[in-house]
Amino acid sequence: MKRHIILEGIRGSLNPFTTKYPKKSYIPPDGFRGAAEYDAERCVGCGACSQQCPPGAITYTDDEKERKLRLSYGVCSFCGRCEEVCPWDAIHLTKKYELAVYNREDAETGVDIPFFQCTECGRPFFPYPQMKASLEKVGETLAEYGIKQEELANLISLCPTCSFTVDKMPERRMFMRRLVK
Amino acid sequence: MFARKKSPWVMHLPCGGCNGCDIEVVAALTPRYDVERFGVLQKGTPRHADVLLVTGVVTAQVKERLKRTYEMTPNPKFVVAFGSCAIDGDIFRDGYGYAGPLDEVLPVDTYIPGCPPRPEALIDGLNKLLQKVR
Repeated sequence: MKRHIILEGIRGSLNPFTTKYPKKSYIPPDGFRGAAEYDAERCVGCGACSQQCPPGAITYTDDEKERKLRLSYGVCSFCGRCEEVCPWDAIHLTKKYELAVYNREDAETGVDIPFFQCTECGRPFFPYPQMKASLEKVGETLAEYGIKQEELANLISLCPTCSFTVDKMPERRMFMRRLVK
Repeated sequence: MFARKKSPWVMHLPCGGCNGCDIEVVAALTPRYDVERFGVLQKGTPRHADVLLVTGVVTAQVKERLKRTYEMTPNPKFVVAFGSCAIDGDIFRDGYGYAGPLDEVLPVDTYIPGCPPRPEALIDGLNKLLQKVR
C-alpha cells in the first residue's frame, strides 16, 4: 500500500469529504462559465452577440420603440462566445449556476435598447446608444478633416428611406467629397 | 405522498446529446456531493421511480420511448429537464434528429439550465422541485 493512500484515508475519516452544499454556498473558481448577463449601461444594442451565438440563444426583436435583446438559458451552451465578441464589453459570464426554474420562459435575461427616431418621418430605425457610441469612436478622425461631431450627428439623423430623397438634406450629398483630401 | 416529499426516487433517463449531463448526474451520486443524504436514490427502472431526470436532446427515435417510460412511472410523477439540451435543444436544435423541446413531449416540473449544470445545480433543482411538491 502506498503511503499517500493511507494518509488520504485517515484524512478522509477525520473530516467529512461531502460538501455542505445547500447550507454553505459553493463559490466556483475563476474562469467558471456561469449564466451570462448584460450590463445595461454599456450595451448599445448592436446585436453582435446574437450574430455569433453558436446555438442561437441570443435573439433580438425590434418593435416600435425598443430593440429587445433576449438570452434564453435553456438554449445557451455557456461557451462565452458572446463575451469574446462584444465590442462594448457589455456582456459577461457570471458565476451563477443555480438557474433552476419552474417555467421555461423564466430562464432568460435581456436588455431593452431605445431606438433613435428619424428627424423627418419619426420612424425609429437605429439603436440610440449605438449611434452615440459610434460618434464618439469616430470623433478624433473627424476632427482631422475639420468636421464636428454634431454635424455628422445631424447628417445621420435621417432614416434610410428619407435619406434617398435628395431635397431634404443637400449637404449630405457633399459629405463624402469632404472626406477626400 | 409523504415518501415523495422526503425521499424522491430518481430515474436517470439519458436521451440524446453528448452525455456531459449524465456525467454530472453520476457525479452528484458520488460521496463528494452525495444526494442520498436528501433521500434521493437512483433507480434503474421507471416503475420504482417518482422523478424522471431527463438529460440530453429529445431525438426522433427516443420520443416514443420517452412517452412509454413516462406512462410506466406510477403516479404521482414528476419530470425534471436537466441541461440546456433537454430544455430547448441547445446546439442540436437545428439537427435532423431533433424532435422538439422536452415539454412538448412530457409535462416538465422543473428546468435546470446549464451545459452541463453543476452537481450543485442538480441539488438546487431537486430542492426547488420538492418545494413545489410540498
